Amino acid sequence: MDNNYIHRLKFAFEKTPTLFRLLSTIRSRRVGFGYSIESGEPEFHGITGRKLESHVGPLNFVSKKKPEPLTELETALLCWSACGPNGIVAGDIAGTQNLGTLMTFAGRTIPAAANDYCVDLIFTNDNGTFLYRPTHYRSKVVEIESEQDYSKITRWFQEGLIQLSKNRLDIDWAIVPGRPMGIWQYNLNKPGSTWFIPIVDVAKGMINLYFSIFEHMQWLITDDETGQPCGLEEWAKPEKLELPITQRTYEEVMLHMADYQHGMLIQNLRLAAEAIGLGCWIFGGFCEDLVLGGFRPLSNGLRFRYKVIDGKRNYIGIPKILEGFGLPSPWYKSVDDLVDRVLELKKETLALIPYQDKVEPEILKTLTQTPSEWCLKAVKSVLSYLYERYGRFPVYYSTFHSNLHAQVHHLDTDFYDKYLKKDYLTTHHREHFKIWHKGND
Amino acid sequence: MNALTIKSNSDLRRLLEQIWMSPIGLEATQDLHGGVLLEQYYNNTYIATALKTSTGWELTDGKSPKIPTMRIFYSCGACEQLAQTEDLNGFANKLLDLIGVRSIVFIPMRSTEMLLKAGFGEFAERLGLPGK
Repeated sequence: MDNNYIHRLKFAFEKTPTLFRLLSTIRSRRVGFGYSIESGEPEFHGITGRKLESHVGPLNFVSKKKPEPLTELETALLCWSACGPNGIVAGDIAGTQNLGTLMTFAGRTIPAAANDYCVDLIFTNDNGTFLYRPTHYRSKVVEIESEQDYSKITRWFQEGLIQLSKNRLDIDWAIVPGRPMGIWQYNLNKPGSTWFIPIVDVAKGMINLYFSIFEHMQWLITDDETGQPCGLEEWAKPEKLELPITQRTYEEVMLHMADYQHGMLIQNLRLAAEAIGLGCWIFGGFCEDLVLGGFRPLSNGLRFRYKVIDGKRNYIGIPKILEGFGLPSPWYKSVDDLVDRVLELKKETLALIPYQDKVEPEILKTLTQTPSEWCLKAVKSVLSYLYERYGRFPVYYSTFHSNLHAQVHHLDTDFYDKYLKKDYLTTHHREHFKIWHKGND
Repeated sequence: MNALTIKSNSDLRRLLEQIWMSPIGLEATQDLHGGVLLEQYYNNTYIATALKTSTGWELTDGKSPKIPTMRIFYSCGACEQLAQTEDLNGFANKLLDLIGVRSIVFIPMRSTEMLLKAGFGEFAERLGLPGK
């Protein structure tokens, strides 16, 4: 490995500001190399070629610096911080209290309900569009313990990167009508920037958690339209399903659970950018259909497959790369297929065990137990009911979502010096190039 | 109410009639709307279905032909104890006790919103039941 890489990884782990210092200085900083703000000068987007309208305003600024993309190392550090491997989760749920809900013991830098990995990270930069999917293998409880382990960050990045396209996303601020990416995102997807796009599959967690809410929490899922059980009538009895919860309520709960993961990923990424001295702004409230690929020909976006049912787009995934757990889908021919796949995935828990030898055999016995026969039938029954009645699963929300993003760039300090009160930039911002780039070829 | 010993399904059916059609039972359930359907089990066997009408309850044998609003599971002498209460206060207290030891289990078969529309909120409030 390049000496510069080793030196900088060491710097990242040992010399960047403490968490509390980062929390003190962290800000959105939106103006990067090659960007502009209300300059009033005609401008064409460097990627899409669309004309950007600009009116002169009090913060008018045109960066004189050429776009400078993030390096591989900077990108690898950001991706790892966002959702990279960090070891083996503790698994300290009682073996008798639904430990089996966990889908894997492979830990990431973000927590997840049942550790279900329902969030993936995509990014787009000058080299194209990529999915960051590092290995699920873990070699030890804490993967990065000392200097010898630092290089894993780049190895996981290089080995786990899947190129989705040779091009950047074809999206910019100038898309009309309605500024679907938000009026504030003028410098979105500019050359040199890296746009991070977490993708959430809400259906995966919903199926996994059905097992828990039936077997351990006694939820009786009811149909919002009829108020009646969703194919679960035979199990509405004491000790089985006693508490009526509508399917929409359940979906809302699970959508939130997935979005929390999504939000924590973005926060990690933002903190990492601050530590490295990069500019970062996070944004939501845009039209996710545009990003996922549901508004062609305005943009191709990420080219997710989708099916329109009752006027709603259900994004089902990308074949062979991000195959979602919703229905209908080309990759699951039936409810049985879908449930079997989730149960198959859960066997990953057996590959990494966090427990000491003295309890391992008993825990393994717990983990190898399949859901009870009635519970398995109930999960298949609720899914069959919903799919037959509504023609889709999830019923109320798309399988995939992506509604909180971050763009990271090299900061143009000239803007901050020209218009902002002092102290908006730390020494880590001002010395970024000296620390992270000097000596690069 | 006179106590009865349950020896057969028909004994239980008579006891259920006594509970629900008695003045106390009618007073207790006066807030439930017409059309509310209770499916009544004893030791996990379908015994009777009680349909709320404008004047009271209409009991029929066996399982409900359609999905009920509420299932009630009785066990361990719960019916007898409920039938022996003498006023609404006693009825409510006994019901709470029986729910507490799970000798009576109510399983709602509709969403909370539908149950509230059917008057179960007022029913629970009148009897001081949890979840009112």
